[in-house]
Formats: sequence, structure tokens, C-alpha cells
Amino acid sequence: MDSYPPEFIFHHVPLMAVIGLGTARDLVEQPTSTTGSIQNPPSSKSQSRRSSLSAASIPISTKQQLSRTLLSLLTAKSQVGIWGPGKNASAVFHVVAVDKNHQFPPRKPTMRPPAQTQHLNMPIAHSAISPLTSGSPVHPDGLIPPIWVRKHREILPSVVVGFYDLWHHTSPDSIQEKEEISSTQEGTSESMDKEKDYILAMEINERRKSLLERGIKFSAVILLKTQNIDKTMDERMFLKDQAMDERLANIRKVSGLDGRHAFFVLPSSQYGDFQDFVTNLQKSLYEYGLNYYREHGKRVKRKRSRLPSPSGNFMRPPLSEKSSMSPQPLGIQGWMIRYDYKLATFAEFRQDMEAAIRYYESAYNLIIDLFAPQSSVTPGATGLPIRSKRWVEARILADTISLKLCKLNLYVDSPSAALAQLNKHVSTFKDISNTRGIGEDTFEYWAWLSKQYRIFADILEIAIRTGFTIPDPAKISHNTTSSDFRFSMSSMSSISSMSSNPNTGSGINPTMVLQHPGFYYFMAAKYNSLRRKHFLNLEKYMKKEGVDNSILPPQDILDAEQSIDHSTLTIELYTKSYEQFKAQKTGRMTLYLASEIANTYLDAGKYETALKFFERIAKTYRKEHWHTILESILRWSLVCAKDLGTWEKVVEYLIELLSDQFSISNQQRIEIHNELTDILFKITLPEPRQVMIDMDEINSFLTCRVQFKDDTTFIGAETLFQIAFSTQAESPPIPLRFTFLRLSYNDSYFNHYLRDNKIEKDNTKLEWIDCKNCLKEDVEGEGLVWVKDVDLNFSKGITKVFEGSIEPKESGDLQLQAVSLGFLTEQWKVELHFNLKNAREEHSKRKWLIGNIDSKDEVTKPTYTVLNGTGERTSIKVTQKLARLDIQAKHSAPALLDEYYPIELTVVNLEHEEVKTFLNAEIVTDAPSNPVDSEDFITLDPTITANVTNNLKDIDIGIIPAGESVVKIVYVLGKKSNLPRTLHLTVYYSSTSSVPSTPYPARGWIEKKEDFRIHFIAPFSFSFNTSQQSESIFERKSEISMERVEKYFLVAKITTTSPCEILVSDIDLNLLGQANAQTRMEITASSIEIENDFQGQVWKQGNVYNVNYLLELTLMDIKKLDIDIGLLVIQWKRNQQSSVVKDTKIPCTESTVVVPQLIRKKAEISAYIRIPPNPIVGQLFTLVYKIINWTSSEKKIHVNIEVNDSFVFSGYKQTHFIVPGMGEHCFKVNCFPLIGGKMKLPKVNMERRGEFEGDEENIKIIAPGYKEVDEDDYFVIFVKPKIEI
Amino acid sequence: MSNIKIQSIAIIGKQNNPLYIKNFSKSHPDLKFHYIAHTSCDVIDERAGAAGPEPDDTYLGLLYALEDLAVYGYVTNTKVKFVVVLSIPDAVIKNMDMRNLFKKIHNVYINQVCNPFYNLDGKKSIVSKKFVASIDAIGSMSSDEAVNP
Repeated sequence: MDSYPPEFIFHHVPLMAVIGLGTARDLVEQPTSTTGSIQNPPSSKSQSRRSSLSAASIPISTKQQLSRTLLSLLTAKSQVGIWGPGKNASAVFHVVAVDKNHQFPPRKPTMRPPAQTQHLNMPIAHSAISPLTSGSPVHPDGLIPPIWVRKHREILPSVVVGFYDLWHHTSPDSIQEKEEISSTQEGTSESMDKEKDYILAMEINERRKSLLERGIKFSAVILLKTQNIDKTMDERMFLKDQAMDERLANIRKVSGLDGRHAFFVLPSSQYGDFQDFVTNLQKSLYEYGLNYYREHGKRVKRKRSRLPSPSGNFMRPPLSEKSSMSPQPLGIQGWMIRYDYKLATFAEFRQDMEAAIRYYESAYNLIIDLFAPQSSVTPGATGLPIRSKRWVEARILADTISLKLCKLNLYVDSPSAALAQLNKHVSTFKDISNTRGIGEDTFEYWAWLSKQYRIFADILEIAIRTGFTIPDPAKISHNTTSSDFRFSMSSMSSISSMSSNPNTGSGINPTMVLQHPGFYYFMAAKYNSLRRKHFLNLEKYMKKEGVDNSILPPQDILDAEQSIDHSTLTIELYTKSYEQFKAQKTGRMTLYLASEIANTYLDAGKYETALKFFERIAKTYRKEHWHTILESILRWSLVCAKDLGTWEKVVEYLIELLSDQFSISNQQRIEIHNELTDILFKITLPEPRQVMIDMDEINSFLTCRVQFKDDTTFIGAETLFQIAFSTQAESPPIPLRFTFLRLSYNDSYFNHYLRDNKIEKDNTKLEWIDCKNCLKEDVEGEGLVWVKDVDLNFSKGITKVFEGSIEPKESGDLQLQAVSLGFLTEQWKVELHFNLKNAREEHSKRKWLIGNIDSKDEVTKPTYTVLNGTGERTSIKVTQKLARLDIQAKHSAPALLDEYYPIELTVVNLEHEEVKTFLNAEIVTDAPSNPVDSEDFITLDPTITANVTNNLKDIDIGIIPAGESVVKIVYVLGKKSNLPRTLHLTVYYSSTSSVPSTPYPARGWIEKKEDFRIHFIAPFSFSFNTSQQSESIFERKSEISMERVEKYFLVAKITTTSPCEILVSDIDLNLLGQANAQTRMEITASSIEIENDFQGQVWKQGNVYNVNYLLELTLMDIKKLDIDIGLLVIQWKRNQQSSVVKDTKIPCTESTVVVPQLIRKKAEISAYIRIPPNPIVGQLFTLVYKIINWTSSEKKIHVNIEVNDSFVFSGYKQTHFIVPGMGEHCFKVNCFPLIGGKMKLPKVNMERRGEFEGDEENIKIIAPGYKEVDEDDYFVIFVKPKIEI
Repeated sequence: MSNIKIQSIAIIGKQNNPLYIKNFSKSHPDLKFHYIAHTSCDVIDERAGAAGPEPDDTYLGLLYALEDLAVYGYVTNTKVKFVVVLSIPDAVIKNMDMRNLFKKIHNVYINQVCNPFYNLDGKKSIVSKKFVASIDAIGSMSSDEAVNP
């Protein structure tokens, strides 16, 4: 658009000239900090408003600042542009500031004598730019120069506003003077005011008159200064105002200005409100501005109407030989164009869009006639000579008129008409160009066409930005009732046919549908690329010999074209279009544009950029299966990649192109194939290349399906899988031999590397290939893999199924993650990679190919069977094989503590083969805590008690034949706690044929676990009783010794709690060593020693057995109270051996119980009684009580004897005596037994009495050989009856 | 029908995959119509989407015009798209004519879908001979008419 004169393009608005505010240059050149925002005149409305606000809000003190502020406000909205404010916008002038002394150009002299323009050839009185004036740019036959438009746009205003300061006497003087003058010399100042006002009024009047002559409206604005109103002097305010009004009225009267629309006063009080003032000023003068252009229009119209008809009044013969050489004056048609153009321009100035369109159209129709070889408007006239100056000018004019028409039609919201104008313009000039030999074969035509579309798109874009909306094509209907009146003319035929059709269904004319600018940018780009093509053709042609230079365009045009970077321009246009479409969210269109951009880059030789574009867009087309498009993209990409030398990409593209999704001929496919094999096997590259092609991401000629035969498998079991490769029906056209097939598992141990066996053999349609029994080999670059040589030759339309097997070694998921077919040459390592990790779309039934092996060991006629499920199985669940083994336990519960408790384990082999079996066993207390302390153990042999623990490991049970069983006895010994125990048993085994080399737990062993719960009970319960015996009741130890000897009687009561009989072999009291060496304890007698026949006693449940011991305690320290006694140990075993053990003799075990500590009494006084043995009824006997006082002080003892029926006794019933310190006292009671049998002796209560009441103590009486007595109890003796009978 | 010159007929699956694209033009390459059909998907989606979940009309009218080609669209209730590309006649193309044209194409497609062996969700091009012949007939009929009105 920039190549056209801006005057022809810009939107016209009335021009206002401003006098007295300085010029626009001042505004720019003298910026102050306060008006900084005005420096760069903002373009958008919102910005301008902001800047004006900021300007207005700043306190204005100087005249200069005031002027600047006003000017910036005035010019803020008058930014010239292509798109005007629109017809509904508020009245806006284009404001120019001129100097105070500026003289507007004088009126054309012709206008002064108005009746002189009859003859066009009048040599006088023409405007300087008229074709009639020699020296004018259009002399003698030009149409209209841009300068004419500029004259009206920028030089000749429709309205002039003068800004004047009201004179004030203080204004030039200092403040002090002001005081003086205002107070004392009022009269003088008044007369001075009057004088100055008069001068001002005259000046205004002069200006007004001179402008009136030209029909230009003049307005004056009087600026009142702040000094004119002194706010401190309130009382004078009113007077002052009155005086001011008077003065102003006077000035107006003298200057002859109309008060309402020509004379304005801007008082200082309104300084903050400039914006409103400026708006109001423009609004009130707007009508005058329009009138001005209306008058101009009328004048031009008159002149046009005086023109003779071109058909009748063609003055000169059309083809006079001389005149064709020398320029002819402008013909009538030319004048008509001039006038129409002027009319249109003035109409546009006054914002009369409809009229403007009408005149522009008229001018346009006339001007296009000029280009025809023979004018149809002016018969006999020839068109403009091609490529002449006038031709170029006229074309520019025609283009810009067309542009104006498009724009104005958008202005009046008539989009179809705008588009129709574009179409008309394009088709008209297409015809003209073709007939004049500069048509579709020349780059010039395409350059021009591209430009037209681009400009149209630009305008449309501007319009949309300004609020224009593209009509929704779905809602458009073109018919006779269309409001778009111009349409009916351009498609008259169809409408007439439609109106005859009773079914006047609405229709649409696709050419009339205005679309968003993206489409037009696209066209512009398209045409620009054609321009490039034609130019390149021309260049090629010019290089040939014997070129006819006459048909070439002029050299300067060629040079200019040469310097243009067509591709960049095309890409720019495509990019503009791309952005438009992107904004419309039409993603696929942008892809198309991207492909066009890429192609342009390709044409321009920018392969790398092109390739990037291609790669980006290829994805969508691939995904949505647009193979034809993808093929073209791939082919272009191929060109790029080859040129760039990125052979990896070349290979990738070629492999994708092999796919028969692309409908290309077999011959083409063979070419692709050959190209691929050439690259892989023939060409030499500087360095080896490696490429991995993800076949799931491209259209592949190979499909790969993977099946594991089963869903689950066991460790060590043979696990079968099949990988089926199918080639497409048409591809590869020639058999393709891969070098290797790699299978990658998530466990690299299983990775396979199958090599081609290089055996030439015809492919059958369905082939089953055995890949089992691979060998583990170290392949270079692959590591340790399973290797086998198989046939990897693929021709079209075949399926090869590779069946292999693996033996999983641990449980978990085993996944075949990827399959790659590859080529390996000296130059290349190409992998066609099938990624199996992601789930792939597959709904068909699972199939398994069975390869039948015939007698010659050849695979023939493989057949499919159907497996369960659908889709693929790329992974398999590996689990431990279920143990087919049974463990039974037999034992006679409950177990007793401390015994060897035998458990008979029976391991039954349920496998079909003999197995080698091992056992692990462990006994664990179900204790909530402290399992560590457990002294339990488990053993195989109860006779060995060394190094026993609570577990048994790796006990070889031996080989169990299929279906048979083995019995193993383990002994469990539980100690202390009678909590239940759990026996954990693990039996692991393997087939004898394949015993793993590594010990358990390892691959190959199958294990079976079983737990048993065992309840324990204690076999015995114990209770102990210790009683003190009197030591030497009649004699004390004779030798002098510090030792004290005490005797104790220990009774251990053992109750059998075991439900089964127990054979007790021995009971023993093991005395503990005393902490103190001077303390000794000895067993003086025991009941067991007495009865020597203890061996082999059998105790039943509930049996009680008492063991008695007489203990002698020797001690030095009588204060030591707690004395350890020892452990009671019982040697025993079950009497009745359990059903489990028959042969083995289980040794006795010991149960040990700790005898409670002996608690010595801390007594001051001891009392002993000696009971005589064998009393007989009727025989007197004496009970001797011996009381020993251990203290050094004497003690008083009270004795009270209770009578009873069995005995008669003699002596005091109640008595007391004193025991001296460290002395003893004997107290005797004579008893006469009355009755025989077990009798209680008369109870003697002994009490020590202290000095005062309350200090009393009962003294316990101890009888040797008797238990200690309780409160109410007393010693019981057996009294023999009299034998006298 | 006189001004309708069919340049191409395209049937596009519901996942915007091409089912059948036929070029009746002598001046444009197939690729061009593939691009046009592909770019139409967006416009069809937008139009059909704008009409709400249950569009009252399956005929979508002019989708766009590009160079000398006008692209018309139609979408079935199963979201299968038909695109017809016409050369621009500079005359009103009656919607009724276009509707009839699309109806014909729809009928042909319905016949194709009635084939129990046809995979509705497949992404493969339609290769049925009958279908191809019927579409060809629609295309050549109108272009013949255009040549000899």
C-alpha cells in the first residue's frame, strides 16, 4: 500500500487551520517535561485521550504552554490514516497549525470572473496544477496529480480558527506596575484597552474578509489570561466581568463575527476543561467545514455538466501521426475523470460516503476505459500507450480509486460491494493486461495482482480492527431482496433466472462472500509466488541466445524486480494469512499455510527451515490419515533432507513412503525402494550413520504383533511367544532383506538377536519360523544375547511368524518391550523400531500359529488356532510354580513344657516325578514380646542336646518318589512359658532331574510352607513350705562359736498337672551356693534318701507328692534374713510314649523349679516346744517349752493355756515369768491324754509384755519336726490308744 | 444446477480422516482437494458446533471460497462430513441445488454404510466399486451439465 501516493489512499476529513497557536513544529520541537506525552502523537483514540487529559490537568501558566496544550488537543484526533473515524464518529477535523502571518494560497484567478471558463483552452486563469497550466505535473494530458489532493487535505482549509489574546495592560509589565495601574490609572488603561481591542478586531476582520472570499469560514477564539480576573479582589469581580463582556462584545461587533459559531471566548476558569472546549469548537464548526466542501462539489459539478459529451465532441482526429508522438491535451473523457474524482473527493471530505462511492465509481469506469486499445466512451480514441508515464499514473489512480471504493463500501457496511469492486478491478485489468500483452505471462501482472489482494487484506484488517465485522457466510443470502443494491447489477443474469423460479430459495454467490483477511493474504502470497515463477522464467529466457528484446519489459522494471526478495515477501504474506487463520482458530488451514510457507522456503533454497515446517505439519496429516498430503510433504521433506545431507531423515522418509497407504504406482514405489537400498548399500558416507525409526509413529509397510501364548507362566517353565510381521499387499515392491531382528525384554537376559541366515528362498504367504533353542552369544554392540540365524527376507503381502521360547527365572512381569528389524551395513545401522510398551489398538481375537513339522523336518502349512482373549500379549506374569507337595504333622497334644515333644512330619510328594526335598523348621513362641529369650529348641535327635536352636535348616529329607511320602520326626522342646508355639515348616524341593546348582532360595526350587500350632502346658505345679526347727532344744553347741545354727524343714509339694502319666526318675534339691562364705546350708536329711525305692514312680494327673528336706543353716550374721535355698529338679518323661515314637527312646528331661527363698524371722525371743514321741492314752507326758531371749535385756512373758477335751494338763492355766537377757527359760506343761487318735495339744499362747500397754508381742512357738502353726491352729499329735485290752 | 461445476467431492470420517476424495477437475491436482477437504474440517466443526448439540440442518452452506473454488459442506448425524468443491461461477448458487446435491451424496453414503461388511469405524478409504461409481456419476453429471447446459 505504501507504494501508492498516500494522498490517494488516506481517508479525507475536513481540514481546519489554526492560527495563533504556533505550528505543529513547535509542538514537536519544544517539548517540555509537562507536555512530554505529546511528543509522539499517539495514534489510537484511547491514547490520545489519555495524553490530552494529562496535558489538561497540568497547571498552565504561560501562554506558550497554553498554546501547546490547545494545539495538542486539537490535533490529537486528527491523525491521518487510511481508515477514517467512520460516518457515525463525532465531528473531527484534520487540524493544521499555521503561522499567524500565514497567507493561504490565493484563489484561482479564473474564479474571480466567474463567466470565463467556457473554453478550456483559455490560456489564462488556471490552477498551477491544472493540465492546462504548463509546468504543472499533469500538463498537458495527465489526469489528476496527488498534489491536488494534498492541496485540499493539507493546505486549503475549510475552516480557519484564530486564537487571539485579549490585550491587557499588565500583560507585558511587571507585577508592581500592575498594582499601580489598576488602582490609579483606570481611565488610562480603559482607553488603552479600547485601542488595543480595536486593533485586534481589525486584524480579525481582515482575516475574516480575506477568507470569506475563498468561502472559508473563520472563527476567532479570544483567550483570557489569568490576570484578567483577579480573584483576591472580590468586589471588583463583577465590575471587571462586566467590563470584559463589553470589551468582547465590542471586538466581535467590529470584527464582524457571528457570536454563536464564529466568536469564542476561552476564559481562564475553563482552563481545566480544554477537552470539552476543543470538542465543542470542532462540533460547532463542523457544519461549516462540510458546507465548504459542498460548495466545492457544486462548483465542480457545474463544470462537469458544461463538458460536452465525449462521444459527440471528440475534437481531434485520433491518430494523427505527429500527435501520437507529441503529447495531446487532455481529452474530454480525461476531464470527466478529473471532475468525477474531484466530486468524489469533496464528497468524501464532507463524509458523504454514498455520493463519494457514486463519483468514484463513475471515475473508475471512465478510467478503465482509457486502458483499452479502443475507448468505448470516446469513440475513435485510442487508449493510453502502454508503460507510458500517463499509463503508469492512470494505473495508480485506477488502483487507488478501486481501493477507495473497497474501503468506502466497507465504511457503509456493504461488504459484498467491496468484494465485488476487488473482483471487478482484478478481472478488468486481467482482461486489459492480457489484451495488451502484459497479462498472465508476465511477472508484472502477478506482482500487481498480489499487491491488490494484499492491499485489500490490509484494508479489511484495518476495518476489522476498527470494529467492522465479517458477515457470517451462513447467514448471507444473495437474492433480489438483498439490501446490497450493487450486487443485483453484477449478477443480473442469475437473479433474473431466480426470480422466474417459484422456489426462490436463497442462494449464495461465492464470489460475493467477504471472508476474513487471511484469505486475501493467502491469495496475495499465492500470486506473489507466481510472480516469482514468471520472473525466473523470464530470467531464464533472457539468458538464451537471440532474445527478442522488444518483448521484454523495460530495463528499469527488470532491475527493480531483480532486487526484490520474492520468497521473503511470499512468506511474509503467508505468515500474515497464517496469523489471521490462527486467530480464527482454524488449525487445519494454518497447517495448509505452513505447508505453503515450507514450500516457499524450499523454493528459496532454505532447506533447513523448510524441513522444520514440514516435520511439524506432517504429524497432523499422519494422525488423521491424510496420506495424499502426507506423501507430498514427505517428498518435499526428502528433497530438503537430501540437500542438507541428513541421510538419517532421508532413510526415514523413504521407509515411510514405502507404505502402500500412499496411493502411488508400483513403479514409483520401486523407485523409492531402489533409492532406499542405494542409500543403504551403495553410497558412501563420511561417517557411519545410525538411525532408529519408530514405526508406530509413521505409516509403516510392516506391522508387528506379539503374543505370549499364555497369560501366566511359572519360573523355569518354557514360555512361548510369537512375533508376527506382516508386510502390506503392495509393499515392499521388491523383497527386502533385513540383517537382524532384535527382541528387547524388560529383563535384558532374555534379549534375542536373530540374524539373517542369508538363504535365498521364496517367501510363502504365511511362514512359521522356529526361533527356539537359541544360543547365548556375545554379539558386538548387543551384549550377551540369544542368537539364532533365521530367514529375514520380506516380500510384499506375506506374514512371518517367529516363535521363540524363554524360561523365566524370577517372578514378576516379563515384558517384551520392543522389537526391531534392522539393516546393518558398513555405513548404516538402521532400526525399524516397534515399541510395544504402549498399548496398541487391537481388538481381534488372539491367534497362535502352529507350525506343523513334517517327516522331513520341514515346516509345512502352518495353521492358526485361536487363543483366549483379544489384542496383544506383550507381557506375561511369571509366578512361582505351585508346590505339589503335602506336609502333615502328627503329635499327641498338648505338649508339656521341658519335654522332648515329638512331631511326626509326613511329606507327601504329589508331583509326577520324584523330587529331592529339604526341610526348614522353626519354632516360635506366640509371645507378644521377647521372643529372643526363648530357650525353646527343635532337634532331630533328642539325645544330642548340644548346639540346639529354635530352627532347623536345610535338612535333607531325601528323594521322594512320585506319589509317595517320607516321615520325619522332629522334637520340640518348650521351656518356661506355657504360651502356644507355632512350628513353621518349609519344604523345598526340585525335580531330581533338574536340581538347581545354586542352593535354596534360588531359581528352580519350589517351596511349600506349612505352619502348625502347638499348645504347651506345665507338667507339674509346685508349692513349698519351710519351717524352722529348734536347734538343739536341750543343748546348745558346746564349743564356743560365734556361728549360729538354725534348722529348717522344707516341704516341696509336687502336684502333677499333666494330663498324661509321667514317669519320674529322680527328684533332687540342688542347693545354691550362698553369697556369703560364712553362711552355709546343708541338707541333713531328705525324705527321698529315706525311701530308696523311688525309681520309676508313675504320677498321674492330680497326684501330689511331697518331698521333705531338713536343712541346716549355719550363719554368722544373724541379721541376714533372705537365704537362697536352691533348685528342685525333677527328672522325668512321659510314661506312655506317644503314638508317634515307637522305636526311639526319648531320654528323660529335667524340670527345674526354684525353691523360694528362706525368710528368717527377726525375732528377739524364740520359743520351742519339744513334743515327746508316741504318747499313749493314759500315760502322762510333759511338754517342755523353751524360751530363749536373744536380747540383752530381760523380757516378761505371759502365758495363757487353753483347755481342751483331749488332754488334761496340770499347772497354771495362766502364768508369767521373766527371761533374763541372753538367757533362757523352760516352761513345762504336763499333759494326760484322754483320747487316742490325732489330737490337738492344749494351745499355749505366749505373749511378751512390755512396760506399758500396747507393747505386746505374740511369740511363735516352733516345734521341731512340725510345721509352723497358724493363729487358730496348733500342733496335732497322734496319741496311741491304750493297749491294755 | 446449471451453474454448479463440481471440482471435487470429499467424504470425511468422523475422526476427520478422509474416506473418499475424488477430483473431477482438470486444472487442479488431487493434492489441492485433499488440502481443501482437510481445511474444511475446521470450518465444518465450527459451523456444526455453533448450531448447538443438535443441529437442525445438516447442510452447512458455503464454507469458504479460495481462489476460483467455492467449498460447500454438509455433515451427517453421525458426524461424517461431505465436502463439495465447486468452481466459482460468479452467480448465485442456490442452496436448494446444493442441498439436493448433498442429499444425493448422502444417499450414496447410506448405501455404502448398509453394507454389513463395511467397517464404520475404520480409517481406510472407501473402495467399494459401487460407491465410487455413484460418486463419479454425481460428479460427472453436474460437470457435464456445466459443459453442455
